[in-house]
Parts: sequence; C-alpha cells; structure tokens
Amino acid sequence: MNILIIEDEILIQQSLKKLFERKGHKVETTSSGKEAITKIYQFNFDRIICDLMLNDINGFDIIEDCKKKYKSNEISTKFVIITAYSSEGVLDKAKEYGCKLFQKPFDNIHEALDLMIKD
Amino acid sequence: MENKHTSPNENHSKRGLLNLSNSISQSDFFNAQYFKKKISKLSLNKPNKKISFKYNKVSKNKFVLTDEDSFFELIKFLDHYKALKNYNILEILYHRKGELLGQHLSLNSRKQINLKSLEIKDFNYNFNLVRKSKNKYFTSSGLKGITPSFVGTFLANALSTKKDNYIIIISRNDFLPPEKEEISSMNHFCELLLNQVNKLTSKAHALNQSQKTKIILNNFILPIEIINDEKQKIVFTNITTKTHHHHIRKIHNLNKENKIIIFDGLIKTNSSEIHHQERINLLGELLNTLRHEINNPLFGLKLTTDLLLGSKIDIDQKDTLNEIKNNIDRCQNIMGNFSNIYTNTNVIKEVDLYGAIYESKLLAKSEIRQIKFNSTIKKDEFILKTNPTSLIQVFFNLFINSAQAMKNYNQVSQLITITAENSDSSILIKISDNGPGIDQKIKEKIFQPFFTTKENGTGLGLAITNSLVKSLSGTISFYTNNDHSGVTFEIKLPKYI
Repeated sequence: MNILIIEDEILIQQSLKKLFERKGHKVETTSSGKEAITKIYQFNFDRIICDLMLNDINGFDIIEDCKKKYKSNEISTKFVIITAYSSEGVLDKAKEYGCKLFQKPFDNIHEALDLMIKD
Repeated sequence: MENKHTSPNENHSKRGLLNLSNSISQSDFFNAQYFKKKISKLSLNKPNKKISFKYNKVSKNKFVLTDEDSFFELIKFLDHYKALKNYNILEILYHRKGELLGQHLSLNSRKQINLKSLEIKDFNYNFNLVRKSKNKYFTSSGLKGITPSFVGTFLANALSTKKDNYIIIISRNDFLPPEKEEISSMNHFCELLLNQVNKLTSKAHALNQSQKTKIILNNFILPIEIINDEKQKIVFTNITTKTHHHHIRKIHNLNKENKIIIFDGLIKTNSSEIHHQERINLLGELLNTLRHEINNPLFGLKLTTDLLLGSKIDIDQKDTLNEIKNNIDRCQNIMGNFSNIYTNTNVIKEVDLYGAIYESKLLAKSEIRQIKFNSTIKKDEFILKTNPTSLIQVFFNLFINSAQAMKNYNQVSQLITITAENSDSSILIKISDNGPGIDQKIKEKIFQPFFTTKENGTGLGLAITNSLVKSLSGTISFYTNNDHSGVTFEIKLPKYI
C-alpha cells in the first residue's frame, strides 16, 4: 500500500514511517501541508495520514483542496486525520468528509496502525 | 473591587452588577440614557415598583467657580506684554469633552467676573471659526450664540488640551483694528495662559463633578433601600472621594467587608469566589496549552520506543525500553488528570475520596514535600457523587494552609492525619495537623475573605475553601486538638450533591 504521512513532529513522522514500512508498506513523508498537496497530485496514494494542526495549513484544508482538484468526494475517504485535539467540531467535520479520526496518543499503537490502513 | 473582577466567567453574569467607583470617572456616567438603562436592569425583578431617575436635576446643577481670585490673576498676564497693555478684558470659553454644557467666563481689570453656561453647538461653531481664522481678529458681531461683555473688535485663539477645548478672547473695548505686533503677542500670551487656565478649570471641574455625584447618589437610594431583598444584586465598592462618605457610611456598616452585596436570587457572588474562579480558569487554560505542547513530543517518544521494541534487542535493552514506555504513560496520565481537573469544572460525578486526596497531594507536592501523611482512608472505601474539581481544591487548600502553618513552627515531625467516617447520607472527613493551632482571638475571622496572618498572604485560601464546601452542600468547621497541638478541620459532605 502507498502511504503518505503528513506530520510536523519529526519524531512521530519518522516512527510512523518505520512502523508502517515494517508492515510492508511504501511510505512517503512530509511536514509541510503545501508540499503534501503537490505530492498528492504527483503520486497515487492509497492512504494519506495527516496531522490536523500543521505549521502552515490545517489538515482539513488539504482535504478541501484535493476535493476541488479531483472534483470528487472519493479522495477524502483516503484521508486519516490524527490529532491531539478532538473537540466535537473536529469529530463532526471528519464524519462529514468520511475520513477516519485518531486521537494522539494512541493507547495501543499496533492496533491503531492496523485500523488506519483497513478499508 | 477592580473592574476586571466583574467578568471572570459566565457564572458571574454582568447583569445587575454595577460597580459605582469605576463608573464615576467615565464620562458616560452622566449620560441620562446610561442611568435609565442601569436602573431598568436593576428593577427587572420588581416590575411593579415605579422608578424614575431625575436626571435634569443633575444637568441643571450650576457650574460654580471655586477660586475666583486665582482666575483674576490670569488677567495680570496681559501686563507682561507691551503690545497688549491696552487690553483690559479677558474671556475664556471652555468646554470639557463629554460634558453637556460649555462655560463662558468673562473677566475685566475692574475685578468683575461673570460666568455663563454655553450650548455645545455654539461653542463648537465658534471654536472652529476661531481655529480656522488666519489673523485671529474679529468683531463682536462675528460670534454666534454668545454675548461678549465688550463692544468692538477683539483677538481670539482656539486651543485644546487632552480633556478640554478653549477659546481665549482679549479685547480693548474699542473698534480699532489690531497691530501685527499685537497679534503675535496674543499667540504667545495664549500659550502662557493655557497651562494656568487648565489647572484652574480642572480644579473647578473636579469640585463640580463631586457635587453632581452627590445628587446621583441621592437618586440611588432605591437600590440601597432594597438591600435586604435577596432577589436583587448590586455591588457598590470603594467609593474613595470623601464628599460621598455620608451617603455611603450606612452601607459600610451593613457588611463587614466594607461593601454592600445585595444578592441576586440565582447567583451568589462574593469577591473570594470571583478570585477563585479566575484562578481556576487561568490554570485550565495554561494546563490545556501545556498538555498539547507536551503530549506531542511524548507521543513521538512513545512511538520511537515502540519501534525499538520491535527490533532485535536483548532482554536488558527490552526492560529499559519498557521502563521508558511506562514513564511516558505516567507523564501522559498526569497531564491528562491535571487538565481534566481544571477544565470540566462544573461536572458532577462519582469520586473516590482516596483518589481525590491523592490528586490533591500531587498538586500541592512542592509545599508539602517535608510532611508525613497518615491516612486511614482506603481505596474505594468512600465514594461520593460530587464535583471533583471543588473537592480536590478543598483538600489542596487545607494541605497548603497546614503546610504553611507548620513551616515556621514545627520543623522536625510535620504530620497531617486524615480520617473519614461514613454515615447514612454523608461523609465526615477530618484533617488534622500538628502545627501551632489557631489563636482563640482570630477564631471568628479565619473564613473571612482577605483575613490573613501571613505577611504576603492573600487571605483567600480558607475563604475559598469555605465557599467551595458550601457549593458542595457541605459544612466546614475546625477545633483545636485535645493535646493542644495543631488544629483539626472537619468537613461534612453529602454523599450525593
């Protein structure tokens, strides 16, 4: 599976990358939201794991941008949002886009990772 | 009470809360609309009672010059200028920004003084006229809405200070046009005069203002009269000007805290609760930020540890990594617990007394490090349905209070003993220390806000504790221990709030 990880906390980004690679997936990483958007246009990812609070733009903004570009709602279901904040507003928005939402820290890491890539 | 204390959170609604001392200095204090609004708010709960505010009485209150001799000194300034030696009349038109009327003051060298009120629109018209004029030279018919005390031509200048606008007029009482020299001397004269005039008018203004305040306070008899009516709430505090004092003394005597508190039927507020709520809100915000900032790197560490645990390592390394992982979990738990205490402050839920005491000790750790705790309370032995934030805060405050009392008294074997007893519907918790105890003389005062025996104390700790226990529908009392060592606080809390 082709996975893109968008996360500005490098320690989390690299650990997730290695953990996914160990499970046999191909992983790309970036810490910038804008760079992520160009990468999404270039490559065809099966899963996009995205932190909500990035330095430059918001995770939901990336989804919105992709939806406009592809003129389809399908892309948003490929997204997995990870966040340290999970207010009701965030939860509702994730539901609206049909993407999964995980709150950091995950209690059981391996279980969480499996859930992320499950269809 | 300072203004900021009036809006700490949604519990202390601004409705009906009027802080008089701060309002006095504001210009809108004398605005009739403002008063009618305030008073109609106060009367919300009493629709039958007719309330009228006699605002006209205030606005018609005549402006009085208090120091006429000093004003006459001003005309002597003209003697300093050779070119102005024939000028014997000085008129000062002045308007304080925000006031409803301007003042027109005429002085002449025969020591005659005349003071009239002036419509603002006339003042402004003339002020702009004079300001825009290039040669500052006019004839008496040129002004609108004011009658000067002289005939003929005059020189005028328009000046502003931070609070006031002035038009300064000098005249020789004749029809001759002014010389160039006179005009330039006039400008210099005005600059010299302005500072002096400003001092005098400000002084007069302050005295007149306090006269108005007196009238306003007379009109405020209504809310003062309903002081025993528990349905309405108004807070008057710190009225500093002595001139108001005889109106206020009556109120002072009504309450030990030098303020009147008329309670609203719904929310009871006093200053210690407001202080407390402010502290809690601030802490909640700080802890939330801290939690977010710390949780992210902690989570990174956790993931890395997990990654390492999955690679080929020997048993020693594995133990160390597990130890690291456990410590990360502990940090996350502590952060989570702290911010939960301070964010969900209005939640009622089942609380284990053992856990609440544990959390309080954790919170107070820096103060109580040297103290030995002797607690008979076991896990899951006493369960209450109550507000955990308040409960923890009560214990926290009592621990801190004991710790500070023992600090300078008993350096060696500081001990806090905690016991609890179950009854049908309530739990009785006893917290004793072996500090100096509480002096018989101050026994009555210790739960009062702002009462403290410490040099830098706020006097709020026990006052807050008292109001928190009340908010949990409980009671708190204390007694000196039988062996005369230290004090015991007894808290009785209902099992279900």
